[in-house]
Amino acid sequence: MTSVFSLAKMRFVWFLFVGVLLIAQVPSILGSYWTLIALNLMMWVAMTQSWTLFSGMTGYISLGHVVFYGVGAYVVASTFNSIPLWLAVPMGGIAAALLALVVSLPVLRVRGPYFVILTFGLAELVKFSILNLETVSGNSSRLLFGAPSVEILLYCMIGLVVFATLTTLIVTHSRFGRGLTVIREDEVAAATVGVPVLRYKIIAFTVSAIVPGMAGGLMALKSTYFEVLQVFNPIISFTVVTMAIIGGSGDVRGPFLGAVFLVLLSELFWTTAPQFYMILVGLFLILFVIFAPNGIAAFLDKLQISRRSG
Amino acid sequence: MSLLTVRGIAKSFGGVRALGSVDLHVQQGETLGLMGSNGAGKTTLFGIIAGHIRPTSGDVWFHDRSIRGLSPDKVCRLGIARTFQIVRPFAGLTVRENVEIAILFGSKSRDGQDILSEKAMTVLAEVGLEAHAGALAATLTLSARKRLEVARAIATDPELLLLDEVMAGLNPREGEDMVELIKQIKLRRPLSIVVVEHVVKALTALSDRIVVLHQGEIIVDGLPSEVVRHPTVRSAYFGDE
Repeated sequence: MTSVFSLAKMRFVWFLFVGVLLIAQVPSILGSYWTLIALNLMMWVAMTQSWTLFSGMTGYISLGHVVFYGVGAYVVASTFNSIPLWLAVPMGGIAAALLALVVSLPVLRVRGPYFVILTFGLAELVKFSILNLETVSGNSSRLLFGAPSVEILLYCMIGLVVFATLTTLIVTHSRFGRGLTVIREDEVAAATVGVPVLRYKIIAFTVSAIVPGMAGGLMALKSTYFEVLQVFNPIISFTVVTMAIIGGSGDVRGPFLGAVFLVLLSELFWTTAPQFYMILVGLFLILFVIFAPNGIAAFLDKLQISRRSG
Repeated sequence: MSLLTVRGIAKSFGGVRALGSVDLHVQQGETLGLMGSNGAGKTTLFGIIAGHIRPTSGDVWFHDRSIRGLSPDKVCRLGIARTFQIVRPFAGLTVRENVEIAILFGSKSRDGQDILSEKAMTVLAEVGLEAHAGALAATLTLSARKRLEVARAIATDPELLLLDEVMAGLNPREGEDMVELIKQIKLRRPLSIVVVEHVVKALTALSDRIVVLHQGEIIVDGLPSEVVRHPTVRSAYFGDE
């Protein structure tokens, strides 16, 4: 059964990569509006995929993913026109990873609801610290004139999606990934059989911060405007968690499925019936938690099993 | 030279003293029985040796090095494995995967998946669980979970095995099977065992020596035949006046 599942997942991954290649054609075929939507979609996939790498695999539900996104955006905005963007965007990722590394020791001491609240609190702490810093230095917001075109940003974001997906895929099938999985199952038992629990959690937490850091930098360039409250908005973390729940955080397919589902839902209802959009999101979230708690990916697996056995 | 030496270990949780000043040693190849009523400090002592609990004072030596303050994973990789009184299987993994993880991390194996699975099946055969290899650990009976707990511990290839009430909750027949299983493991593997057990018959059948803990202190240390005749033990366990 495992090999069948692996095959199905691999097939799905190939399918998704073909999809990503098609998305790269959006600017030339569908024009600027759909290019923006494609960029948003890729950003959410990258964000959710990176969230899955730590939270999905270890069971530590983070509500602080936005802090890495915001830090990446801040690095790019504050170094704009000072250093080249090809350096600034990766630096955003590195800064986010360094922040994750620094806070990992106190943050990863707790788990369950305490971890959720702590990560949320951390994101708010960094948000208001940077807001105060910006206010004191007279930079309450920054304009980023001369940022690259949306097409260029889309190609960069596709690169991030590929990087995030391959990283998650490699980790899932590695010794490290198996260690993370049993940390999710039972941390005490995992340590008892030799899994270096604390080291693995720190590494996963740090690595999972790189992609949102870079995504934040790219999205700051997209909006050509940096505003602290916007890039550190907790809604970004909530959306990532919602996408992971809807798509499934058990493997690499989930973030694609969750992001496509919510972005399509947003496109269908946000412009035509905005008063219903959040109600619908809430409703779907409840339905998924009750009827497909492991997300669309696991639901598809179940369907496949019942088709084979039926 | 003892394999394990516990020197002056004390532990208090807030104002409650769980262990006084405990001295203990385990020789190479020895099976040491640890007796004591509930709250005597047996599981706390296991927790300290395995690195889960930091002692208030004292030291633990394994071979010729202090392991006080080492994390449980490091203690495991040095060669000390433990089971839990309340079993802790990786419920969402199969029985075979549970054992594979222990081989992969505990015994520092660098084998590929095929050899890893083969080794896991050998361990499962040793504890009589090979027929359940593909089942999710969550679906096992208590008796099978207890065996899985032992399988996962021996899969780390330990020199010292700490068994915490592996017979608790089992019926008499299952308990006898577990005693036989531990004896077989001891015959096949070059390891020392410390076994905590309330069933005196099982403990005397397994142990070369028995230590009795009472309110955090060792009150008796001797051969099983001597210990079961000891007045304090008879009073506590058999109700003799």
